[in-house]
Amino acid sequence: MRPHLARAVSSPPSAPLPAADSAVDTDSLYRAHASTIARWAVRLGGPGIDPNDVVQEVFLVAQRRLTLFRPEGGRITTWLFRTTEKIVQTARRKQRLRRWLARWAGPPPGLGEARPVPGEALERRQEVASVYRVLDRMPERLRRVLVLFELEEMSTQEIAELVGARIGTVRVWLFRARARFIELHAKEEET
Amino acid sequence: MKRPLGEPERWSDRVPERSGARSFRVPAEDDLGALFRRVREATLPAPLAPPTTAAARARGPRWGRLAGRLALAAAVVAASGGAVKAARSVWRAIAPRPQSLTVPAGSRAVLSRRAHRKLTVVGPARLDLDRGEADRLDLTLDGGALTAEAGDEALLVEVNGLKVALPAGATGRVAGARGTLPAVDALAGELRVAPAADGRSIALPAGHRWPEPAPPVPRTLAPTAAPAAAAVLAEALAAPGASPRRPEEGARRGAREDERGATSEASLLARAFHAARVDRDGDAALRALDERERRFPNGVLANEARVARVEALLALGRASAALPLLLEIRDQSQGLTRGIQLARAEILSELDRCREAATDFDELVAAEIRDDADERARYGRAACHLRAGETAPARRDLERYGELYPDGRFIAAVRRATRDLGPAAAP
Repeated sequence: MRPHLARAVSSPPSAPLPAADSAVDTDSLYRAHASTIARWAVRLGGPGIDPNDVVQEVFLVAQRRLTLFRPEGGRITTWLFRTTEKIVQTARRKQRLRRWLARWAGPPPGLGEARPVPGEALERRQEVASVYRVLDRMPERLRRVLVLFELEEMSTQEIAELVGARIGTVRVWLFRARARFIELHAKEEET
Repeated sequence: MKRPLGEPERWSDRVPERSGARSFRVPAEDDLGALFRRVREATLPAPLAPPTTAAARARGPRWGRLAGRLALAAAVVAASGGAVKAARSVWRAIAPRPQSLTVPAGSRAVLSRRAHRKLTVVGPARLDLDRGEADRLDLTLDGGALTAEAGDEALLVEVNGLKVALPAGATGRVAGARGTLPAVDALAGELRVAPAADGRSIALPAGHRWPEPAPPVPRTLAPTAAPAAAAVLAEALAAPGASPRRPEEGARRGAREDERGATSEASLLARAFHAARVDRDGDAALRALDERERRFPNGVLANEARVARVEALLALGRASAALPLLLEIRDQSQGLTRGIQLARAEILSELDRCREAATDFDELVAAEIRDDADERARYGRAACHLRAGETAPARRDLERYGELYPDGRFIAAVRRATRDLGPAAAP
């Protein structure tokens, strides 16, 4: 993390920063950021992620560790993004493991996927699943930048602030991510 | 959209080009842009519930658990040899852990520490994490709900004293209020519910509910309360010391006052009762009552006004708003009638607060007055017993209802419920 860089960039589109000397309480943090975190969770994690679970986990972590947060060390949104990202990564790892186990043990119990959906919604769901299959085959760094840029509609400057990298580096990652996505998407369509 | 210098163009912002126009774009990028636009729309999460985070109360760790964690940490060190990992494991072992979790109203707590197992608690509720047993969970629901997926191991959940066993692969939902036995829905797989202290359990196949939902209890205050409250009002309309007036005279006087613009507290109340009972216009009734509150904050008809407000709220279908007012009425001096008692008991039983409703139901039945309130009270009490799994008193109430009201309005539901209970056990 680079605090000097975080301070240098312009403010993000989400909620305002808490004052440097005020205590950050989880309730106001929840009100200001819960919907943003839910969106990050869905976009970073894909269709298998339950945004409510992620939001819950993020704020449980926040409740436990927010006292360690120092406003002068960086933005609260950066801290929340990193936490969300880690929780989403853990959830994706679990999903992968379950998929792997399911080859032997059959599908895990649950009602979620059994619900009937209308034709168009089904088509859209399949399209989303296909995009995330491609994204899942990409390196984490490139995947994250592409999702934030194309789906979250963040500028490279905002992404740089969130992930703690230089703007130039983010643009290079984005270029590589797009090239990789085109290549993998073409393969996905062939199969 | 203007981009800063050097900012790459977003594929999903591209507008499709006219066909035949000269272009240097890669067609695949336009297609992928459209695809990203669709994915962006499809991945907007549903609005979150308005909860705040669950507040966890932390206490110190138990020595037994601490020793176990240290042993685990040692095993991790032996297996990995990493100093950082070792330090982390030690910290995890000695760090204080919450022993109980209070989930506030509307909040969600998700516990999914073990593989394939997921427990979602919606508050208000309190989780007891102090057990130390991995395959069981103690939970007190106070109007909240628990959804439990057992995963590939069986799970025992004890909610408000009711034991629910979920075999591997089963999913169940338990909902209830403090002090009452909760309702259980088997969503997938066959659950076993053990309501009795002797441990005997009932099988609950997928798609079934325990206890079986009782037929809906009617709730409106009219017609039993309306005449009673009207009588109270008629008495109140008579001036102190004046000779009793005939009803027509009172009505004429009320009408005259209405023409003058509702000059007295009583005429405002009369307007409220008329709006609530005759016009079924709860909003107009509430307006008249608010006007009375404003003009006569210390008026002598406060008890009658409370009854009128209850009727207005019920006319608007706002039973939960009417309940606090109903609970304030304690005796006859405050306007307590059989109708009021019945309405209060029925609302409480609908809100799964049968224990509180029981007092009113019991008093109504004990009066031995064969009226509409008695019929509804007997039916409501039986429904409450059924909900709580108390089969013997439920059977008694159902049978007595059948004897007293063979042509009653709930007789079909009563017969069905009696049949479902089966024959009474031998004494």
